[in-house]
Amino acid sequence: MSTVTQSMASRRILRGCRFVLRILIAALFLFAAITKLFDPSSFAQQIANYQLTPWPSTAALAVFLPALELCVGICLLFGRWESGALVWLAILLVIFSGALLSAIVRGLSIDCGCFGRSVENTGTLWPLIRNLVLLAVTGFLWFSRRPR
Amino acid sequence: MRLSLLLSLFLAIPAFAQLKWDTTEQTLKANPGDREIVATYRFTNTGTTAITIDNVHTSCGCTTAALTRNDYAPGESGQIVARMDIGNRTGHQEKSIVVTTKQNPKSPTVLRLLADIPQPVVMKPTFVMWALGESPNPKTINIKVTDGFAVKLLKVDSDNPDIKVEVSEIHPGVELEVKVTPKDTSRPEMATLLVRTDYPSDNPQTYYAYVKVK
Amino acid sequence: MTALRQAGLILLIALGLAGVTAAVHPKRPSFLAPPRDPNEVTLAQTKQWPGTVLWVDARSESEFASEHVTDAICLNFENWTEQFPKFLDRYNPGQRVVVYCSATSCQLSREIADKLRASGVEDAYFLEGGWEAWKQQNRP
Repeated sequence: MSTVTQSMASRRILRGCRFVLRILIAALFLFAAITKLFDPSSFAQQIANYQLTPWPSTAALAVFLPALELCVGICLLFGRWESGALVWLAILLVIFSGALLSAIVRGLSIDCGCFGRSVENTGTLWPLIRNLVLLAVTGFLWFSRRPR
Repeated sequence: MRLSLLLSLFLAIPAFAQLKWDTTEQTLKANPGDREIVATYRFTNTGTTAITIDNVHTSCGCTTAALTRNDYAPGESGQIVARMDIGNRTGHQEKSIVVTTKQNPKSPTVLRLLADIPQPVVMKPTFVMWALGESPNPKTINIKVTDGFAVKLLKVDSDNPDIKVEVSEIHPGVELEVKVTPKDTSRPEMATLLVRTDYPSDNPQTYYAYVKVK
Repeated sequence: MTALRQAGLILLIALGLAGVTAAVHPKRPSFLAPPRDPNEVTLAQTKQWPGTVLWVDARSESEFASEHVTDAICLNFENWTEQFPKFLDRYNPGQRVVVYCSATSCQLSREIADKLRASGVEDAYFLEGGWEAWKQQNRP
């Protein structure tokens, strides 16, 4: 293969990976957003359990976060306003990871009794790791954007 | 391009794994004498990939939730059986069970169990106390049968002869006023009042009130 | 359009969507601060009370056995019939009773305080933050 075809092939692979990852993240966030938009009231209670925000803000976040996730998901799905969407994606992932980390560190007992058990590790560690992976993917998508 | 399209389909599928629940909220009424309330929550995997339920967490130590297995292939159904221990609880109780799956750890399902635990006989207060040296004036306990219960209040006895009990019937068998008088309050005393009923007929319940001089 | 401009537009649309949700969604959260229960007290408030507080632990006996508030007594729904007479041994009319369970999200303390009040204990409250709050304040 000549060097020209080689670099075209590797660009194609890069494009392919970008496409796959972009769609994957979009699907993930759209699903998460839609699920939360079904019951904002329960989501507000879940946020409250992290004991990080005072009440009126908690209720506002319960409505605003899924709306933002939805917009970001749609933008990524259709490849529109990708740069702006990626900025919010990174911010959201950092916020979620921060909240999860703080819950783990404080050993929050989100539920009652049950022998003083804190939030199960399967419940908070796995999402934290996944968020960090998604953050890395976001970085990749950002730095491999097609120059305008 | 074709390869990446195929890849994207393959990777996007896990996002659509999903459990569909028959119902996520149940209201149950307990019968007097019941020790626990049981509710079954059925679900089906309507997604396109297998689901693994990795955490079932109840909001209270009094409620247990049992799952026969954790993995469900697409199309398979299962159920979670929740058991709430009644103990001495009465009135309206709300407990929740949080079900988390490995595929969607950020979106758990919250099952709710609303229970109504009836109280056939209500005593107010359930205890009376005198301080040492306090004048031994009578104190009253009101005992009433809740509407809708075919309970007959039969007798009220004191297990301590130094604590006298005088029963007046406001509504015979339905509402009683019990006047409790200690003989004197110079030394510590205690008594348990036994309120006998005829309900339920197979296992008539006795209710307790407490008297103390201290 | 720069990334920042795009992000700004996305923000506006998200805010609009959020506003609509907040206004019409059948399951929208209430925005007024959840009303404060008059029977809920903070640890700070209890410290200002005259006289000694009778602490009641609403958790299971095993949790109580492993650690509890100094001089607290265990009283829960499972063992109420056995434990209530022991509570009466400790309780003096006019004394303030504060019930706690594991943490803020736990409802047991509120329920046990309600049951105590229904039984004739006039001043029965429940602790905001529960055992977690007490432990934090009393760390050696």
